[in-house]
Amino acid sequence: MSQLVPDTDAQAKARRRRSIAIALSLGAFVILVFIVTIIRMKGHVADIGF
Amino acid sequence: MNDTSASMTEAVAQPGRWQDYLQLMKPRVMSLVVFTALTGLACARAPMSPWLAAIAVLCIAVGAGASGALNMGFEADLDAKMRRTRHRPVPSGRVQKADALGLGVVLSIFSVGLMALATNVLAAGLLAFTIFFYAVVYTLWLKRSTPQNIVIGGLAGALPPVIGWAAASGTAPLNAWLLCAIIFMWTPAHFWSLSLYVQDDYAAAGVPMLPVVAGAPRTRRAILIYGLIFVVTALAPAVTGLGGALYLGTAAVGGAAFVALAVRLVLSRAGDDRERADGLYDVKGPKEARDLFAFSIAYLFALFAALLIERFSGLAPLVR
Repeated sequence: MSQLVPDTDAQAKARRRRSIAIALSLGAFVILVFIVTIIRMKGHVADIGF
Repeated sequence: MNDTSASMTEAVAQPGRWQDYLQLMKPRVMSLVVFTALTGLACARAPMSPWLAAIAVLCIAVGAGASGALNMGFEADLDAKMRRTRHRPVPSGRVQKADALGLGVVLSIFSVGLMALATNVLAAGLLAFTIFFYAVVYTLWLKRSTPQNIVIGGLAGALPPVIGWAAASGTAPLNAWLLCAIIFMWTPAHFWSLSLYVQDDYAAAGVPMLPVVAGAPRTRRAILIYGLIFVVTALAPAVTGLGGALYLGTAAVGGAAFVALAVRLVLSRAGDDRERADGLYDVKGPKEARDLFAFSIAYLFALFAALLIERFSGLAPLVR
């Protein structure tokens, strides 16, 4: 059975930075999807006749 | 233990930084892709929300980054054998191959999905095809199997203006494909110039680039032939209603200089003496090949910049 080797300080720091970068990227993606949805919905709402 | 595994083992202790993941996305290639895609998007002259236009260009940039990450993941074995590429994140061990491929797959899904949501299915489909063509057809198949690798594979780098055009208008007319043809015909002369002075690298990695397989003299002649076709193609937008006087002047003057540099290369012995060819930025590399390589980038940039300037300054095309 393989043993887990604890991260060095540098590895832990790099892992934390990578995690923050992933979190920020995912957050940015969610915001982009939201913006696109709002813009597209606005266009379709304007198409609706009365 | 061979050099490849040794270098990978030594570097395993180095933690991967977010900058390494950014490097996987080939930011310099991304910048050229963004520029040409933006030109295609602007030349479509279709009404579009500036927000959606910006998001479409972002999707194309991220899609290009995804292709780069997949390419670096699949090519780690080759990159480790080449001086020019052995310091990349995967062969140096800072990023695991599986992580590079994972990043490429995730970014591909995000970019294509967001493109479909923000613009239309045609643009998203073209983006998906471009990523697939570069990562699978070019990287896994063409590059390792034929000296025509960069001729056919150049299609992946040539498609971004068509994607931009499709994102703006939902169509891909002749002029969009003309922009694609310009980049497609530009690619061989550009990369073969480079390969003349890094051919030792390609030979060491077993990549069948033209100078390695057919020799430098035949490569120099091929550069001139493809260069002439490229220059003629670059003039075409002036007669199809895409480019105006500024574009025609840029294409003609730049084209004349390009042909002059290609003729100078053919008359030289660039690439014949492998001892002198020593790395991408080494001053000892054959000057004729380096000059054409550098000028080809400037010329392509000038062509697309002329179209952008004409589009945003209201300068009329020569033919309506």
